[in-house]
Parts: sequence; structure tokens; C-alpha cells
Amino acid sequence: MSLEKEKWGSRVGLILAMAGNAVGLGNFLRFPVQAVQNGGGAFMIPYLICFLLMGIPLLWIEWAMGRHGGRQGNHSTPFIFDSMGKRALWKYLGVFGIFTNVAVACYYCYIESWTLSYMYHSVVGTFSDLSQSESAYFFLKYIDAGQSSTGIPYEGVVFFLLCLGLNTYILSTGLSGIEKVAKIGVPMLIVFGLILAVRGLTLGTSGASAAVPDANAWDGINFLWTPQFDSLANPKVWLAAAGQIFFTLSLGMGTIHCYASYVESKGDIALNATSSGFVNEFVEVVLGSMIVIPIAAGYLGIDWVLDNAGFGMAFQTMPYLFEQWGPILAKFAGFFWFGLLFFAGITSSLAMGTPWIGFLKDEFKVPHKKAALSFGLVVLMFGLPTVLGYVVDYDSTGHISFLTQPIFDEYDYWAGTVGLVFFALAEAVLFAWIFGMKKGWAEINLGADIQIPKVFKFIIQFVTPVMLLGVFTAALITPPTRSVLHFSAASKAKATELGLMLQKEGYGQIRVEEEQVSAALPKSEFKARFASTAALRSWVQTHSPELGRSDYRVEESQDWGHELNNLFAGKGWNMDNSSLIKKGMNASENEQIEALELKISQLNPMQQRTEVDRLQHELSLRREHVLLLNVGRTLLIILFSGIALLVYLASLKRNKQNP
Amino acid sequence: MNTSALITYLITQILVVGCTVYFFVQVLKKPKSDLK
Repeated sequence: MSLEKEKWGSRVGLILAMAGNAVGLGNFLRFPVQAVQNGGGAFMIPYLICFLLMGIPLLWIEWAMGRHGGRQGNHSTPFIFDSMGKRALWKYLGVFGIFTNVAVACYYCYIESWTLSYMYHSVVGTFSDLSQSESAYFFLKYIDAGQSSTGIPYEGVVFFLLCLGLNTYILSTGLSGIEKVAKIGVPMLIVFGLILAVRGLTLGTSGASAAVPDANAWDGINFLWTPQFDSLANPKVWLAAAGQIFFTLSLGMGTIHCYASYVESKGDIALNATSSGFVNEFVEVVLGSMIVIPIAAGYLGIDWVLDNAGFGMAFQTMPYLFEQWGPILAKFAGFFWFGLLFFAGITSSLAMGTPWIGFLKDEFKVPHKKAALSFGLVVLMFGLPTVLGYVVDYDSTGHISFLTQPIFDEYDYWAGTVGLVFFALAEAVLFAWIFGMKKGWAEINLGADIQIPKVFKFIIQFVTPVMLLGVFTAALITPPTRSVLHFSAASKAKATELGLMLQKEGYGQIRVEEEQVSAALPKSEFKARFASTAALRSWVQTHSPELGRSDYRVEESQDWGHELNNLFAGKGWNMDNSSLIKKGMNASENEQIEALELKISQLNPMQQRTEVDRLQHELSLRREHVLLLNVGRTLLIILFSGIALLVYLASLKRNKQNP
Repeated sequence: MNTSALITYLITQILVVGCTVYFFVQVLKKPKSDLK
């Protein structure tokens, strides 16, 4: 269908472009946090199992589907799916393979622009005189697009436009441009990552200060890699591992299909897919685990890491930590770190533009440059709301006291999370059950440079779809999350005593099992009781000074068994506010609004005017937040409907040409 | 680094680095394979 048949220049270029598509900010920011929050070293077991049973099979499926589609001139998923399943349903499920990319690019380009801006600020020394809190605050002010630290008005918007312009320009140069960026970007980010990882490994206790005398990078490394085998019985750990594999390999997006559609019709995909998957794992497991967590633990202590591990660390904390290396090294480290994130980001965002361009070229014969420009314009139109759709409030001292990005969050959740899992489930069913495993297996092995073990035929047909169904169902009806305080068997008697003490204080039931004693508390109550890891340590130390740091730990858990029992006993199924169904109903936000309204109704407006005004103000901010959440959702529906309409028009056009 | 962390770390790194290098070497052996 394409006017000209584009193809990759070299095999290494293709693999680096695919790896660049997969390697993203999540490799450095999401993976270590997920590992820390889900059993440290034990997380690696479900993580690697999910990589083998879900990640690699899905990579083969997507590459095979892409090459199959490309052979017939289809470079985007609606018509790739259409060529594999007879029903029109598949074509419209394929819309997700364009929609998700455009929606994710809208906020991803914004994050990418932060890295570009932070590279600039690192080099000019903006962070050199900032304290830790000032450094963190700089990021919050950056999100408030009305503020400026460079004198450029609307600085955040300017960097976003710059980044989007750069992406659009590179996309307009075609596959050769993308390949060139991947050949430069992927090796560069590996080199930058290696330099910082060596620093993380060698930091040791040299970052300890009077404020944090026991700071030690090894605590971070130990926490990350010490296996907590009892975590393997926690379904939440398995779901987190499956989720991480999903996001890190960029599965369920439609980008892999598009890239693979430009592979020659009998070119290898088995080895190419495996190889690009492992390059991503190398960057994630070898480099991603050795930068943020060890460096942060080396300066701020492991307790701080446990309380603050999250996406924000990259921008709010790292610039301050680099400053501890001296003014010159700080500039280099900042440049390396944000440069690494920038390259990781741009090689992914470029991939997001290709399905849209491929679709317009295939179906409407739009010239390549115009198709690339149209992608830039659509991302600008739907992306600007993510930049400007924030709710901010300042306290009387001029400091930000409230900041949320509802449109950004909505795009990330519905397109960047739910959309991927749903799409992957659909493609796995289409490939193994509609297209058929016999044809599918032959497609994967056509021109293969490696022999794929036959067991994967069974895995692709049964295990992968079941795992995906499990992940999707778990997201749909996630049960309430509890915090579980585990005491190790080494101090069992004391642990039982502490557990009973917690139970007496009204924090749920303790559980004494063969290996351990645990006290499970509702997450919100636990957080209210132990606001920080330091508060928990202090409580344990007061009641049992002989217990060491390694004798107990906190884990978040979802009690699926308890909810199943409830269900069979006719008591229904409780869901966490993070479940897809409750998210769809804005349950968490509505609860906050209802609580505020209740508080206001209980106050006397004549006698407690100030408090009523304060709560009314907070209520208006929360309502504005919900309004923007709904705006974000509406924009996503408009975007999806628009792409579905284009697919419908393309179908009509095809039917006219081939009645 | 404590012993159990070291063992987990080494096993994971050897596995990931080993497989990455192995598959990439296979690719380099046939650099033109996708163009046949």
C-alpha cells in the first residue's frame, strides 16, 4: 500500500532502534522503585519468569504480526489485525495501536522536555547553590508553567515545543533518521549509565554527613538485592513484576508491530526480537538498578529511600546529590544523568510517531514529511493540555502547597497503562487463537536465525494469554491494599509480642505462620500511624531495642484469598481505589471531596470562619482537579474516536478499490 | 554487600549480561540477515 517501500539500513540499526524503543525512563526510574517496593532481590524471580513467559513470547508475537502485516503493505495495527482476523472488531481493536502511541507521546514528550531542560540547568549550574529542599522545590515550580527560572516566559512550554519539534523533525527524515538516532542514542545512554553505575557501586559510606551519619550506598544495594523469599507468596509482587516487564519492553503499544513491518518479508525476527529484549534487560537490570537507589542511599540513607522512592527522585533529588560531588563533577554528572534519560526518552518517543505516519501513508497516501508534521500537530493539540492542565496553590509564604497534574495522570493511566494491557491481551488472542497457532508458529520461525524451543508454542498459546488475562483482571478488581509488617523468625517470640501490641492498639490482626509473624494493617491507617520509616523504627526500638534493622520489614499486600472467601460467603468483593473500576468512578477523589464537605458541614461558620474558608478553598481545588480529570478523559475519547473514524474511512476507501 | 544479596546480584547479572552478549554476538555474525 505504501508508495515507496522503506526498510531498515542494517540489522544492528534495527535492533538498536527496537531496543531504543523499549529502553525508556522506566528502566532507570520505575524498575528500581518496583524492586525496592516488592521484596528486593526476590522481585527478580517473578520478574525473570514473567520476562520468559510473557515478555519474550509477546515480543515474538508483535514482531511476527508486524512482519506479516508489512508483507501486505500494512504498517499500523488496524490493518495488520484486519489481515489476521476476519471480523471488523479486530480492525477497531487495532486502533489502540495508534491511539496509545499518540496519547502516550503527548505526556512522554513533556517528560522528555524536562530532561532536556535539566541538562541545560545542570550545565549552567542552576542547582549549585540549592539545598535539598530547594532542589526538590525547583521541580515543582517548573511544573507550574507560569513560573520561569531562566527568564524565558512559560519555560516548561518552550522546552516542550522544542522537544516536540525535534521529534517531528527526526520523524520527517524517515527510518534512516530514527536509525541514526538509535545508533548514537543507545550506545551513549549505555556509556553514561555505566559511568554513573560505577559511581553508585563505589560510593560506599563517603556520602555520609552530620545530618545522615549512617548513609551508605551499600544499604541501597543490599536492600535491592537481598531476597525476601516470603514475598513470592504475595500476588502483588507477581503483578508488579508482570507490569514492569510489560512497560519496560514497550509491549502492547503497536510500535514494535510498526518497526517490524519494515523488516524484509523473510528476514529473521526470532533472534532480532530476543536480542533487542535482552539489550533492554541489560540496561534495566545492570544499569538501572545501580544508579538512583545506591546514590540516594549513599547520601540520604536507606530510610529516606524507602519513604521517598518514586519517579520524582530523578528530578527532585538527583541534582542535589550530584552537587555533593563538587561543582565540576556535578555538571558532568547532571549532564550524563539527564542526557541518559533524554536519549532513553527520545528513542522511545520517535517510535510512538511511526504507527501514525505509517497509517496515513498506507491509507491516504499522505507524503512522509506531511504525515510526520501531522503527528507533531496532533501531539501538540492533545499534549498542551498535559502541560497546562495542572492545579496549583501557594501558601501565605509563597510556597507551593498543592500541585496536581490531572490530565497528565489520566493519559498515563488510561492510555499508558490500561490501554497497553488490553491491547496485548487482544493481540495474544488474535495471534494464537484466531490467526491460529500453527500459522503463527510458522510465521515466528520463518527465516529464524535461532531455534526457538518448541515449548514456547504451548506458552504462546496458553500461558501468555492466561497471564495477560490475570494482569488485566487484577487491575480491574484490585482488592484493598494493606501494609504488612513482617518480623523474621530469628526474633519470633519478640515479634509475636510486638504483633500483639499492634493488635492491641487496634491495628488489625496479627498472623503467626511457620516462618514469620506478620501484622497486617490497612494501608491508610498504617501510614497515619507510621508516617515514615523512621517513625516505625522508633516504635520498634522503643518496644524492643534489641531488634535490628534486618529483623523486620514492611510490605504492601493485597489479600486476594480474603476477598475470594468474602465473595463465596456472599459478602461481595471490596476493591482498592487504585482498581480500574474505582479509578473510572474517581472514587478516591470523590471520597476526599465528601470528607471535606462533611468536615465543613460540622463546623460553625460564624465561630470557625477561618477554618471553614480554608476547607472551602481546598474543596474548590479538589473539584478543579476532578474537572480536569474529566477533561483529560474526554480528550482521550475524542482522540480514540477520531482515529477510529479515520480507520473507518480507510476501510471504505479499501472496499471501493477492492469491492 | 551481604552474602545473599551478593549471590542474587551475581546470578542475575551473569544471566542477563551472558544472554545479552550471546544473542548480540549471534546478530553480529549475520549482520545482513534482515536484508536477505
